[in-house]
Amino acid sequence: MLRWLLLVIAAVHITLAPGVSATPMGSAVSNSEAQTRGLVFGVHPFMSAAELQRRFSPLLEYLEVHIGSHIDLKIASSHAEAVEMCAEAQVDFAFVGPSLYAQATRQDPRILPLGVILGAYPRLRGVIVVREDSLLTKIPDLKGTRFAFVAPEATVGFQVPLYVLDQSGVHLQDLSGYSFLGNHANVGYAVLAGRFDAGAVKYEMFERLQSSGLRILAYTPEVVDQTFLATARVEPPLAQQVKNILQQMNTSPEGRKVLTQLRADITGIVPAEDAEFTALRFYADYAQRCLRDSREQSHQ
Amino acid sequence: MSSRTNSPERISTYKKVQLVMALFLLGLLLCGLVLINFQREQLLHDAMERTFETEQNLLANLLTEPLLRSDYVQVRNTLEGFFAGHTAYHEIILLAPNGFEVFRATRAEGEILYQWRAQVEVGSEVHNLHTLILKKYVTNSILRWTQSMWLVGLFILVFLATFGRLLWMVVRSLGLDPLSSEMERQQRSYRSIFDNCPDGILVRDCTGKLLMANEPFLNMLGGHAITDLQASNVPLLNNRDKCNNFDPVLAGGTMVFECEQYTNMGTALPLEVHSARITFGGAPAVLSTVRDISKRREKEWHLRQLSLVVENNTEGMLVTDMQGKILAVNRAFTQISGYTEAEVLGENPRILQSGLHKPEFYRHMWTELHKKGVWQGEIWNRNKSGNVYPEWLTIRRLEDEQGKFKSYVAIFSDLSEQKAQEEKLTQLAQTDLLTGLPNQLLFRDRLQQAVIHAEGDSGRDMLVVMTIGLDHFKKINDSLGHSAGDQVVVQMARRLHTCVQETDTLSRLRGDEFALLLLDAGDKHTIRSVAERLLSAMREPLHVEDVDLFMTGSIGIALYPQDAKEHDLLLQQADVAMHQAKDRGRDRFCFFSAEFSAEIAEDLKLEAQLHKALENRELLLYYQPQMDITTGEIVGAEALLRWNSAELGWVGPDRMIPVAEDSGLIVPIGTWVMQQAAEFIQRYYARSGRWTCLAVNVSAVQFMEADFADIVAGIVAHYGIPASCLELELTESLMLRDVEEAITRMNVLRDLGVGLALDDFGTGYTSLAYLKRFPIDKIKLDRAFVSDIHKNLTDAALAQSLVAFTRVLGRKLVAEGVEEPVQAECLVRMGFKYAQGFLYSKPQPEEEFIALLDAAARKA
Repeated sequence: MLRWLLLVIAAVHITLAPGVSATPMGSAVSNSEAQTRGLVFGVHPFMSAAELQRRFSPLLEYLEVHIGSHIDLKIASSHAEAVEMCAEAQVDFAFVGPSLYAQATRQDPRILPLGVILGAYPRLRGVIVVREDSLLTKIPDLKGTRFAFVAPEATVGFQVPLYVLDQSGVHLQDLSGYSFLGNHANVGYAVLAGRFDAGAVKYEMFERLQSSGLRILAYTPEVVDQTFLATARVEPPLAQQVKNILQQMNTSPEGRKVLTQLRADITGIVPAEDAEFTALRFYADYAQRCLRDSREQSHQ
Repeated sequence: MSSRTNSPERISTYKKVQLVMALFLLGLLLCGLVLINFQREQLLHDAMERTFETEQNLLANLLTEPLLRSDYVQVRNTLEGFFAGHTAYHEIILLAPNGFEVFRATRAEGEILYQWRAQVEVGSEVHNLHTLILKKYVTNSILRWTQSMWLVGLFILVFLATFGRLLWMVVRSLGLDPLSSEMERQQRSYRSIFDNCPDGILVRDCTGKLLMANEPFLNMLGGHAITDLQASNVPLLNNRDKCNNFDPVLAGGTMVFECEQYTNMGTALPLEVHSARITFGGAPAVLSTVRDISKRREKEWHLRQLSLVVENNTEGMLVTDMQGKILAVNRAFTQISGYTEAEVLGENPRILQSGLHKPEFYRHMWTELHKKGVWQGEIWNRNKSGNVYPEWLTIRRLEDEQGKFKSYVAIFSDLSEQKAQEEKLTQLAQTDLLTGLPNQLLFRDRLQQAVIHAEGDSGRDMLVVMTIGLDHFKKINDSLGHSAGDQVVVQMARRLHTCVQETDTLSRLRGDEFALLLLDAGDKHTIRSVAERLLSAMREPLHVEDVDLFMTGSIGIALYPQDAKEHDLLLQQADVAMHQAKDRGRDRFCFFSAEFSAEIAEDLKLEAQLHKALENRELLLYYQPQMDITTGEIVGAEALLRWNSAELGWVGPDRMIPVAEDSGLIVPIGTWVMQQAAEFIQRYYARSGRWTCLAVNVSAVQFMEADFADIVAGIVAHYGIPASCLELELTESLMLRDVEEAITRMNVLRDLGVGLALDDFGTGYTSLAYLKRFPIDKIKLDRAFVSDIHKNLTDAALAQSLVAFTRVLGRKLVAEGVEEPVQAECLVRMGFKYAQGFLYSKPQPEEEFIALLDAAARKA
């Protein structure tokens, strides 16, 4: 009981903290500078801070050993803050969702992609799910229903499915209601519990909850998975060194262990061109417009 | 008074009272225990109910707020933490208003005594009430304690009983009990001597009635009980005259005789009987010891037989003493040498010397004999008539039992006929039986001699070797039969022979191939004219089995020393030139060309070796396991053809298969592979009781054979294996040659029940439409897509798409060429179930593969 309470308190404490460590902004970091003043690794809040801390610690330790510099973890309090810390070079390296990467690089084109994660599904697949016993069978049936999304910045949890809905004639205003539940699991459970008629989740979440009674109503286009990046304040040689380390991780048992600690299905970090993110920028713009239109219409 | 107090009735009553009192006290004790336990459970129940209420309130508070926000992750975390911290809870379930189970955690053990349900309200939304179900358990420790006591009591009783019994047995066995006595022990000792004596011992009275007999005697008679012998008057010791005539023995003497005794199995057992008078039980009796002499009799019989063998042996034998005086000879000796036994006994074997050997020969022979105790060799001797003959002689020195040399034994056989036979065989071995021409062996020998001669004579003309092949001879064999083929060869041989000179050697090398050695060919012009003459002779029509045949031939020409200086190479170059002539359209001759030779030499060599590979058992199968990568189990294997050529060493499939396909050998080899695979499956089943599945590669040539399906069906039936255990791997290119025909053939094979796999998928041009139509069970993703699966997003995405695609089609998917752990991890994560590659096992020879299968079975 006591252990459980302590865990909750610790999680709340970490979540509320703006960053585990603060790093002053400055000019580009070379390897030698990194060794003296240390580096900062930013992460977007796609799960609880305690969980992120647990998952990323082995990776940071791995990188520290290989580049010889101390690295602090900085967990953004929101997706917007994650974009900001990358675009404004508040961190040296970061791990962000694909749409956040797309937004950040729009603001600062000097950001370098270091690699995308290679999971059980090499590209992120999203699905629109309903309960197995639901009468909804196609996207137009969603008009007048309650819909659960992950977050406005979520790629497969909002932006891509929103585009799919919109293209099928179901606009945000046509829904009887929608909410952002913070993560994919909440969306899945909320649909299963009947709180919402449908929801948008990544395919892995559907697979996890399929046996509980979820059904796919529609697939959404695949997009590139979460991404490692180097911000503008990192010198190219150091960025290249980290890129090599990340992309070579799956060649050693030690590296593979670290990868699976990050996410159980990750088997490697592979190169990704900036062009992979072009579609994501489009989805992000599209989602922003839809949200704005919906809000304006609700004000009227 | 005293007698009244101790009367039996009073004692019995007293005991009954004691028993009733004891039962009463026991019942009282049990009632007390039940009451205490009841009270304890009541208190426990009250305490739990209060705890339930407290914990219900706590959980209600913790869950309400996240449920309002639909934060099910936090809800589940909260419940998980609670469940982990409260081990007394057997089960916690949270149900959504629609009945969906948001959370469930259960512990397996324990007995549920109490259950409590509570509803947690989510804000003010009455229709959104979630239901929380809690279950707690306690164990009934008293019951368990009682059960344990019964078990302990029972154990003590059993222990005491067993221990007591064991103790008594030990005391008895050590003779420590008062029942044992010194006399008994002595009697046992005498009895032991009596029973363990290797000879039979029996005691009879003066009338011959059996009084006593030991076990060996009874065993000699086949296991009679002594009482049977005493009661039934079984005739003992068949030589009844001596057996029952005890007079000499009773007179104080002893008697020894041999006789036969019938056992109860009906066999006669030879015995040696020694009898003597004794006093037994105060009366005179006869003690007899009986010895089984069957082995001694056998030895004597063996010696008699041996003597007969020696006497009737076709090899001559003689025995001398150490001074060389002949002691004995057998019948064969007298036949071969012409001397009678009486003539040679006491003589020295020198009378047989032919005089052809020098004294050194005999000196060497005696030296060897003294050194090694034996001498063997061919020797010429002279018989009584004075004729000299060869013989194979073996002389052995014999020792007595003390190791002292006693005599010499000479054994010899006449080699006259053998020598004549060898000469005849040599002649036969150098002649082709069909044509009467020198065969290849003799031709090579003459060619070798000619080359040696030419080497030593620099002014000599060039040597010419021609190889002559009949064109399309196989068609004759196939259409008219081998008898007609033989006639063609014979007639052609006659014609060719008319075209050459006496000094030339025309030989039949093999089948439809001849070779010609020209010793004085002169210049190239002369050689051409000889070749033209030969071609012209072959073009003449042949009349075989009422059919007119028009045949042609192809000739290859190699020259010494220009083309080769070694006889073997010279013949080989001529053969290459002949193939060149055939390649250029047949019915022509070609001089050897180094360029062409270089092109086809290797192919020819491979083909020639491959022809012999099957019969020389140079082909073998290696097995590469196919794994279920989700469980690590071996689900089958691919049988891979390997060729360990005696001449070429290991030849890879990439070199071997094209040659086999070009030569048509792929069909018999492919059939052999399927047979071997089926035999392995059957053999492994007989050994282990488990069926294993093997996949074999099928070439396009083999697949398009008209009777391919029949062959497969025949193999499956012959070896009695389930058809599904044999899988045929077909390549995309094979199927795309004629898609409709391929599908028809695949359907026939599918109906047989054999498995079909699409090999090397991804390297060809199979469309999805075809893939859907092909009746295959399995798709094997080519290694090209697997090697970079862990570092190339596109390869990974393609492979992942194939997982989904095969899942929809209901086909199995196997990844080939998995070499690194990271590739395997990627495949597992992507949903691949099967794979093969060096990571799991390289192709293994049969023994190692069986060991792998056995190890896997033991693990399972």
